[in-house]
Amino acid sequence: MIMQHYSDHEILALFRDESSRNMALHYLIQKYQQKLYWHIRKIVISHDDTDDVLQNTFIKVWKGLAGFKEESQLFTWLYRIATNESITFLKQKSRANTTSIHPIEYHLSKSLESDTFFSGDEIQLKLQKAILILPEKQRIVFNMRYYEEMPYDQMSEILETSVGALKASYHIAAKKIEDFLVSN
Amino acid sequence: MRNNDYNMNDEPNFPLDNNGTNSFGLPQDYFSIFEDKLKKKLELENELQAFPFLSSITKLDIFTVPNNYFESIERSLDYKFELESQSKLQAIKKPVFTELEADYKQQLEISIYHKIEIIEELIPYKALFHLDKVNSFIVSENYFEGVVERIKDKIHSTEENKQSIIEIVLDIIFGKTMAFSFGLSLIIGLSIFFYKTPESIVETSDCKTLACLERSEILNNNKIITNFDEEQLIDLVDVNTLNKQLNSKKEKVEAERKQNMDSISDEDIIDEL
Repeated sequence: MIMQHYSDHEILALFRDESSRNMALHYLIQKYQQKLYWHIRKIVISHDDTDDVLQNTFIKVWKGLAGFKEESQLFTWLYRIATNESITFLKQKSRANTTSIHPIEYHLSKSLESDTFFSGDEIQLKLQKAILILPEKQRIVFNMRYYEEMPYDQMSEILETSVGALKASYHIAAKKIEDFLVSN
Repeated sequence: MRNNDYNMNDEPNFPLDNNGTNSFGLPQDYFSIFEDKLKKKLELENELQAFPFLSSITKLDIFTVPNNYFESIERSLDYKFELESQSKLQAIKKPVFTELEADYKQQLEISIYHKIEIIEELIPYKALFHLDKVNSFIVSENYFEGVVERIKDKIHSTEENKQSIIEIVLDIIFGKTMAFSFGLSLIIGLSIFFYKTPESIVETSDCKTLACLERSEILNNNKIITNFDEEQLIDLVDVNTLNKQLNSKKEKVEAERKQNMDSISDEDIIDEL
């Protein structure tokens, strides 16, 4: 099915009109659901958790859309909310898991092995495990650059970090992953 | 506009004559058809004279055709002739491709450079470089088809539950909890009030009635007494005890007087006289 995608400007115009607000919500979710889903999924790993975070992200977006000033791109703003929601979710999960001595990344890595929604072969599993050993920020940077192939300037707007710092972060992450893949 | 490249030798109606005679030529039968041509033109102009406004408008060919229209017609006709022998192929509708966006070329260039940049970044990391970049995460079938409706439902359900600050404050003030606590404190307050009120009267007397109260006690408890109506006051007075009390007070006064009289000697009376 071919879906018509409205421009961000058109969606915002629909939102500002009370009578077409519902339509704006529909087009907004339709346009960004997949991009945001995959972005969140790479951070929180599990499909069910991703679904929760995705819903919370859109609820937050919806609540804050009236105050969105169009100073940044809608796409950037959505990504920023999705990233923050994912990080908050992982922190909450980590706090709730007080019985374990292992960090949350360890559990995420373990859950991948039995995840029915993960179809990767051995090398792909190893790559995901390597990504999960990275610190949170490096992991997000690596996923955005490696999988989503996002330009640094866009990443800089989303993560509110300088382009130079992001480049450094990506190379450190790639080096760590390379070392992990070679040594394992 | 003057054409500087014009060469008289190229003019077909200008056969060069080296003998110096009239070198300007004419199209064939020019003069024979000239009269007819002129007659037709005059006829048309006469027709239009009846309509002065129409005749004042300059006759221009305002309709245009797309660029290379006539050439393309020729090509499409050729194509049709070619396909005539292949009926099946002819039945297939030709796809119509949408036009490329104006900045497509520029965007394509940027995107190619970006892809190259990403690949080049990975060159130093051989294992990563040779790895297939695939998304190993999957989602349940038709997952994305239901996302829109689920999120919309969730948003609408949260909007329904949303209350204004005033409503929340009013809920707290006039809510069940508040009403219950207020009711409870009222009951306790009234109980204490009514429990203490009779005690103040009863405890101050010996006979447990108003008759036994001293004047000062009555005055001190004035407020409480004023709260009673006449009937209640009559009920509280024990007549017998009151009589006894009054009689005993009378006797006491007389006894004192008698005692005082007895204590005066005869000599004191004489002196006084």
